[in-house]
Order: sequence, then C-alpha cells, then structure tokens
Amino acid sequence: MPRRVIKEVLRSVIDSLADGILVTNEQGKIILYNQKAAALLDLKGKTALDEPVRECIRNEVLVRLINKILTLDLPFHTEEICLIDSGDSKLKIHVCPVRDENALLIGSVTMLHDVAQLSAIDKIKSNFLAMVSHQLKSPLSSTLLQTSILLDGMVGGLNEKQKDLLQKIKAKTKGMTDLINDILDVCYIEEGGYVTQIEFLNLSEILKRTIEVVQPQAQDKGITLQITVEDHLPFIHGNKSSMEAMCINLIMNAIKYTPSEGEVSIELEKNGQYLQLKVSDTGIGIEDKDIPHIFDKFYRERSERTKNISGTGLGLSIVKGVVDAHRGSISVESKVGKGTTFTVSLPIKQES
Amino acid sequence: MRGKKILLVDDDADFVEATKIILESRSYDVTVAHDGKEGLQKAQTEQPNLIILDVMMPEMDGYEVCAKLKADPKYRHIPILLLTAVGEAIPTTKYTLEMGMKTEADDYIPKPVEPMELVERVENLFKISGANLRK
Repeated sequence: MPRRVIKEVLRSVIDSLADGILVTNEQGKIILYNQKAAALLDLKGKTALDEPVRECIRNEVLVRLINKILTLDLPFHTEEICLIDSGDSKLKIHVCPVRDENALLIGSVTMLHDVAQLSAIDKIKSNFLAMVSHQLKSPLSSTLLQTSILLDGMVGGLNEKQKDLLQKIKAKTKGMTDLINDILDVCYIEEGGYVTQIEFLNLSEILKRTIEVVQPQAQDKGITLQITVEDHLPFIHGNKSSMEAMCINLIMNAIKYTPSEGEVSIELEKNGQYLQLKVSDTGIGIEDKDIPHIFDKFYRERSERTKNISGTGLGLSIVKGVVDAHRGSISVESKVGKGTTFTVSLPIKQES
Repeated sequence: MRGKKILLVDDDADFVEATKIILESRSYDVTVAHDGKEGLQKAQTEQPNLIILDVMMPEMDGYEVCAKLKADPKYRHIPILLLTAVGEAIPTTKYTLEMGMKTEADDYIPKPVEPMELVERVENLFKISGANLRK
C-alpha cells in the first residue's frame, strides 16, 4: 500500500479504538489523539494539536503523570496506571514512554479506558450481594433473638439440658452469620469488585481503628495488644475495605489462637519500597504439615487444641486475596506452642 | 418509666415478635408496622416516643421513612434507631452502616443485634431525648 493510504488506514484504526489514545512529543506537546480521547478529555477539535498538555487537559493527575514519564526517562520500562475522574466518567489511564529504534525517549503515549460501565456492573453486583446478604442474615437475626429470649428465661424457665441445647443452637447460628460475612468478603475481593474504589490509604490509621474494634475481645481473654507504628509512613494505593478486612482477619486470628494472658504485637514500618506489617502472637502455633494449606479456603486445623476455637476457615484466604490484589506478599513463621508471625509486604505507591 | 411508646417497623414478623417481647419485658409500650408506608402512617397517628426502623423493607425503605419524618417539624424530635442488615463488606451499596451514618437517624445498629445491646441503645436514646426536651 502507498504510504498515504497506510496513513489513512492507521488514522481510521486509531479513531475506531474503543479506548482513548493520546500521544505527546518529548516536550509534552500533543501530537496525536483519537476521537475517544477527545470525548473523554473534552479536548477541543484540532486546536489541541501541538499544544502543551497542561494547556489542554484539565485533569492534573494525568498532566503530572505524563510529565513524570517524560522527565524521569528511566532506563527500564515503566508505566503509570491510575484511576482518574474526568467530567462524569471514571477513567483508567495507562501512561507509557515512547522510544525510537535507538531507545531514545521521543514522547509519551496514554491509553484512556472508561470504567464507568465497570462501575455500573460493580454496583449491580454489589446490590445483588447486598440483597443476598440481607436475605440470608435477616432470618438468622430473628433466630438469634428468639434463642436469646429463650435463654434469658423471658418466656419461662429452662432446665439444664434445654439451656445447653439452646446455647449450641445460638453458637451455630452466630457461626452462620460470620460465615455469610466472610463469604461476602471473599466474593467482593475475588470478583475484583473494588476496581473502581481505589484511593490513597493511611494504613496506620486503618490498623489503629482495627485495634479499637478488637480491643474488647482481647481484653476478655486477658491478651495484651502491642502496636508499634513508624512515624510519617507513606500512603499506599488500594481499596479501603479490603485493607480493613485484611487487618481485622490477621489480628482476630492472632487473638483467637492465643490462650489467655498471651500477647499479640503489631508492627508497621517502611522497608525499602514496601510497607511491612508484622502480626505476631504467643499462641498455639501452626504445625509444619498445615503451613502449606493455611491460605486455602475453609482450611482449618481440626484437632484437640483447636476444637474450641470458632471460625469459618476463610480468614486467611481473605487476607491472601487482599495481599495478592495489592501486588504484595505474605509469609508466615511459626513454632508450635510458642507462637506465630505473619509478615505482609505492600508496595508503596510513588507520589506522582 | 412514664409510658414510653416505641414504634417498631420491620417486615420480618419473627424479628418483630421477638423484639416486642424483649422491649415489653422492660415495660415499654410497643406498636408495630410491617413496612415503610405503614410505619410512616403509624408514626403520625400513634405519636411514639421512639422509632426502631429496619432499613431494607418493601414499599418504602427505612431511609425514606427516616428522611420524611426528620423533614417534618412535627415529628423531627422523635429519636430514630436504624437497623441495618448488611455488613461493611459491600461499601458501594446504599444499605451499609456507612450509608446509615449519612442519614439523620439518631443511632444505627447492624443486625444481628444482641437483646441487651438493643435495650441499652434504646435507653440511651430516651435519656438523650429526655435531656433535649428539658432544654
């Protein structure tokens, strides 16, 4: 095909893309964009060409990322991925450097993906899960209330055997409610339902709040909670409720598997390009044979020493799910009878 | 306690029956409604001193009932306790504790709720509203 025709074909292809594309030269002037980009970023016709990005693009985050890619000129391949708001839509943007055949930086290219539809789907899925949750938990709530009324003797006295059976019914019912909550957590995380709910998070604040929530249960068992957080820790990029679920599951596990008068210590510090969270306990520990399975769904050690510990077996799979989703890593060290330490590393989002 | 009347609005008949037993055992006077519309009507005709309102209900949900009552100067002063059934795992929907906190309700508890906790919250709300009326 003659070059003129190739150029026209390319132009048509670019304009037909479902995603927006925006190309700048090495000075940050716009040299190419398609109709979708124009629509998503509200660029005004041909006048945006050859103009610097900061004059044409309203979203500061995008402008900053493009400038970052152009100025850093790192020797290895980098890209910036981010969610931004543009007008009414939410956009997932992907900014990469453009290099010529001599690997010289000659510009930047940005892909813009409209996730509004994704968040609409997210909402439908979330509303469905909310409905399911309500339908399953409401009858259990009434059952729990009814058993409590019976146990409190509000509708007549009970003999020991009746009390005993009712307590078992109550415990099982409460267990089912916990199970429903955990399954919902798992669904939420696995379906990636949080993809549009990413923000900068202060992990030390999340930890402190989690500790407030679990304090009463720790106190009941006489367990000391020790928290050490480094000052001025950077924020991480992630989903708030997933992080909350991760923290509460790690700390509750530590409390559950530690006998009375034990100790649970929580440390958060910066380690290179990562935030490192350590949750240690003086609990019963995990046997070597169980360690490869602890992150499996519904896996629980079923033995003499754990028979009185309640749980759904989903806690650690939720934790692992969240860690994976945030591109982190988790490791465990344990000695039976002495205690266990879980270490989570989460990559720090570079301030752009 | 001077004839404290509580209006209980929830579409789950078992929950209503059980909660009524608990509240009546503490000498409260309990009136019930089984959906939002009936709840709103009874709030206006029965003049309760406190309303316990479930969030997820057919016809009209708890938020709407709460919003309507709080917007009306005649009923604004009645303390409202919202019961939310869904956990915090799904923050993007309208039925979470987070959403509950954006309404004008005076207090909110997630289900399942322990009888003692329910009673404590109710007593607390009566104490607060009693203090407010005396101002």
